[in-house]
Formats: sequence, structure tokens, C-alpha cells
Amino acid sequence: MTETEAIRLFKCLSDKSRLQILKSLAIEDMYVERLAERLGLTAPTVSFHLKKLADAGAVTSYKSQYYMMYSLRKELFQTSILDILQEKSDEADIQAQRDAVYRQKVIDAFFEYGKLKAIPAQRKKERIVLEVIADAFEYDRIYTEREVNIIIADYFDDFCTIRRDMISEGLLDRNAGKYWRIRP
Amino acid sequence: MIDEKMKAMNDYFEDRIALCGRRGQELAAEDRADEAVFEKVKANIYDVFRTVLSVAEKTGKGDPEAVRSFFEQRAEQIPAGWAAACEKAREHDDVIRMRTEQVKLDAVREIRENFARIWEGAE
Repeated sequence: MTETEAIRLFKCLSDKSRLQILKSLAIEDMYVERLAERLGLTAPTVSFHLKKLADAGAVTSYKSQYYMMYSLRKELFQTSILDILQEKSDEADIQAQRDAVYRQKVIDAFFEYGKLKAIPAQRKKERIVLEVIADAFEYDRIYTEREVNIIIADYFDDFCTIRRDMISEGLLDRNAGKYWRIRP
Repeated sequence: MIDEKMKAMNDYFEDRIALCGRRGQELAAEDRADEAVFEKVKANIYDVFRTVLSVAEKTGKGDPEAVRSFFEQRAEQIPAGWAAACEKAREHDDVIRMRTEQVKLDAVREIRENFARIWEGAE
């Protein structure tokens, strides 16, 4: 478990309702309404907490007949706190984690439900945004300009600007109306 | 007559804001921070509509029907964006955002029901 993951998990656990949900799930897998009844919370509140727990990797879900069942990720809770404390993290890992956190913040700020809200003014942030869009392109495949436009338009209406910037940032290359993704 | 209605509505807003404050404190004391935030969100909605009502009163100049019309129009307009955000969150299975928007929408629905009851009941 990385430090970032450990911090996210501990933050998530520092809530009485979420701890009670986990205690219930430690007994058996349950669905939202059952947990709500058991804990005296509303079903939407339980769903809210379960989503936070799932994002922190503390619970998983699976479908069973008509219900979405939730279960405790027991293997995660079998990790001792000492194991987490003793885990080595060198400077490169720490820097990589900082970069990942920054990158995620930029993505969260500029994308909403997979759509780009605006092109960032800062080059560093635009680079991150363009890298996200570049992930929609496969390596070793030649795209026509129309295909490129359609892919980019899924993210942002002004596909011309994005396409041009992806080329100037060295994410895509082109020749005679054909485009391809450049390997980093 | 309008003074009684206004008093009933303002009492209602004050009660609800105080209740949200108490619940929020209790929840925070129980280490239920997110649910405490929901109470703050609700209290904020009651406060917004208390302001809307006072503007409606000034605009309506003593005419209960004018006050009702102004208040109901704003109570329709203001949450329109929240309903759209809630729907968008639902489409994307964004439970966390959905919950926050739903808390706001539930508070507005309750305010509108209470307004209708007080405005009709006092006539």
C-alpha cells in the first residue's frame, strides 16, 4: 500500500457511519437498504458512504439477483498498521506520488464526466489534459484526420485546437493527412 | 394577514436552521463529518430561501398573491441547476455529487410544501 493509498484509507475510516458500515459488512455481505435499516441511516446516505469506501478500496460490490451486494475487502484489513509504517518509500516514489496527485487534481479540475470543460491556460496543465486525450489513440495505428477529429470531439468541441496542440506537444504526428500516436 | 404568514414562514426557517445547526454539531461530535456537512448545506438552503422570502415581501408590497408568485417563481428557478446537476451525476453514477444535490433539492421541496401550506392555511 502506498502512502497516498494509506492516507486515503485512514481519512475514509475516520467517520463513525463508515466504520459502522464496515462493522456490519464484517459480519456478512449486505445491500444498501439492509445497511440503512440496520444503522438507522437513509439509503442515499449509505450509498454515499459506500462510494467513499469503495474509492478507498475498503469495500467491493457484486450483483446478486436484484441486489447490489457490498462486501468488506478483508485482505486489505489483514494488513497491519506496522506493515504500512515499515513500507519503504524512496524519494523517487514520493515524487512520483506527488506527480500523480497533481495530475489527478488537474484532471478533476478540467474534466467533468469525461468531457474537457476548458483548455488550461498553463502549459503544464494543458500537457496533462492532452495526455489524457492521447490515451484514446492506439499506438501503431494510422488515423485519418476525420477519425482524429471524431475522437477528440468526444472530449472537446474545438477539436482543431486540440489536434494542433497534440502535434506541437509531440503526442501525435502527421504526414499527408495521416496521423499516429508517438510513443513516449 | 400577510404579517401572520410572514411570521409563520420566518419562524419555520429559524426553526429549521437551528435544527440543522444542532444536528450538525451532534453529527460532528459523533465523528460523522460528511453527514454534518449535509446539515450545513441544508441550513444554507433555508437561509437562501429566507432571503428570497424577504425580497418577495418587499417586492409584493403587502399583496400576498404577489409575494406567493415571486417566491414560487424563484423556488422553481433557483434549484433548476441543482436538478440538472443531480441528473447528470445520476447518469454518471456519481453517488457523492448526487447525494449533495439531492440534499439541496429535498430541502427546497420541503420549503415549497411548507410555504404552500402556510400561505393557504392562513387565508
